Amino acid sequence: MDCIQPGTIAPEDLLAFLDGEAPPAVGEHLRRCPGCAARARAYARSQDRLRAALRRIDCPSPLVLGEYELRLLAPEEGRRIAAHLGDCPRCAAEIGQLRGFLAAEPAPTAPGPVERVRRLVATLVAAPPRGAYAGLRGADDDDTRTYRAGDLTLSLSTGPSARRGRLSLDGLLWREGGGAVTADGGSAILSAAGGATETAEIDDLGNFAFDEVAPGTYGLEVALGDEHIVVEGVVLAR
Amino acid sequence: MGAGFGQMALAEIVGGCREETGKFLRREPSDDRFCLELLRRAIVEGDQAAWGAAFAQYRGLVLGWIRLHPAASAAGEDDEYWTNRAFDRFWSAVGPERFAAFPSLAALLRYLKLCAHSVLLDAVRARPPAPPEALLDREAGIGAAPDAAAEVLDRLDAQDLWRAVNAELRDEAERTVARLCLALDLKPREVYERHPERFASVADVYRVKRNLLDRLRRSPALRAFSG
Repeated sequence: MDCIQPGTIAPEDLLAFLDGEAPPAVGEHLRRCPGCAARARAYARSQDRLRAALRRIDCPSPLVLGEYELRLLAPEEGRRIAAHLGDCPRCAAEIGQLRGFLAAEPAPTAPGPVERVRRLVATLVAAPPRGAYAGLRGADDDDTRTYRAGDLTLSLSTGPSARRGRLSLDGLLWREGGGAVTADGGSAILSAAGGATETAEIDDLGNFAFDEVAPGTYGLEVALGDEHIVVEGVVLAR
Repeated sequence: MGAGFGQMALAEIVGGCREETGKFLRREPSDDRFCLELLRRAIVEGDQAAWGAAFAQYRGLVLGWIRLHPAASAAGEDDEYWTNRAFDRFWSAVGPERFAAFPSLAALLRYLKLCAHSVLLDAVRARPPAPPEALLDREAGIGAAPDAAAEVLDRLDAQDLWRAVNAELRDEAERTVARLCLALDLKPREVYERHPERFASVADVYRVKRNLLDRLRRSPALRAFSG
């Protein structure tokens, strides 16, 4: 089919029209000229098919681009990707997007059960109130250390164990003002440096005990509902 | 990794990982070895229980990354779907033989974040480009003709097609236009802006592109694909 006004528009104008970059006169001509409209449609179809089939044909995958960014690729492949990035605006844009994404952190979400727990690191108190409470334990000649975390005070005493070569560790908790230590009970977890743990229940009066503990340095975590008291570097020595 | 961690019960490792992650999130000093051991058991030993625990531990983190990603809305599907795809990719891409290449928990989690990014970008890349025929329909009121070759195109091997296209190219200008216009979907104006040394003007890029499309349409090897 021939053009109704030969020479009005060039074949390149049809491609520019498809890109939305042709002057208005080209669109007006296409509305009136079935022959040029058919040619434009043929170009459109050619481009459409080729672009769909060849899209990013020689681009590395997003994962490989990311491994380049994280320097996980072998040197030779890294050089190949670097050369590609020099003349691929799409991959260069994706690398930029990846950098921004890796640098960004999500906004804090609702806390999970672990995050809801209030953790207090206990500090060693210089003057332990042994006189007032030691009688409760029946051991005023042992090695007692007193820690404080918030309104809680924790007294830890070590003594001999029934088992040879082991020690006992007794704990007593109380609140300033005399309130209940815990309404629902609680537990004390003693963790060795190697990862082994031992758990003891805390009674209504705030007492707990580990009866056969090997000498060493431990971490102690006292769990009272949503309140956890952490004592680091508990040294048990004979 | 100390021998102590390797011998611990999985429950202890999982508890430790959860605990230390909590410390990390509160910006307190934390010990990565529990979580690193959990991932080692999942990836290197293929321990299914460790896989499940690692997924549970980091699912929320990955979900947050997916929601943060600028391509998430364009990728389709829901956030949970992409979270699962990110973990699938992570497990398959790291693998037992590659685990040692990641020297720390931070390095592994950074790679997990890359996996979240890459599954989304794969989906965005796979979306079909806007067809020029749509513009033709809208602007010139010309309906699209039935496309008998579309089914053939769906089945063709893209690499074979690319080789056939390359065989038709005559010079560096055509090579540039083929790559930038057909494979990267740039317009001739953008091609000229990137390569003013190779083309006299934007119109020159259009001329090269038109010659190339005409030749590809005449090529017996490409007739089915280029209309």
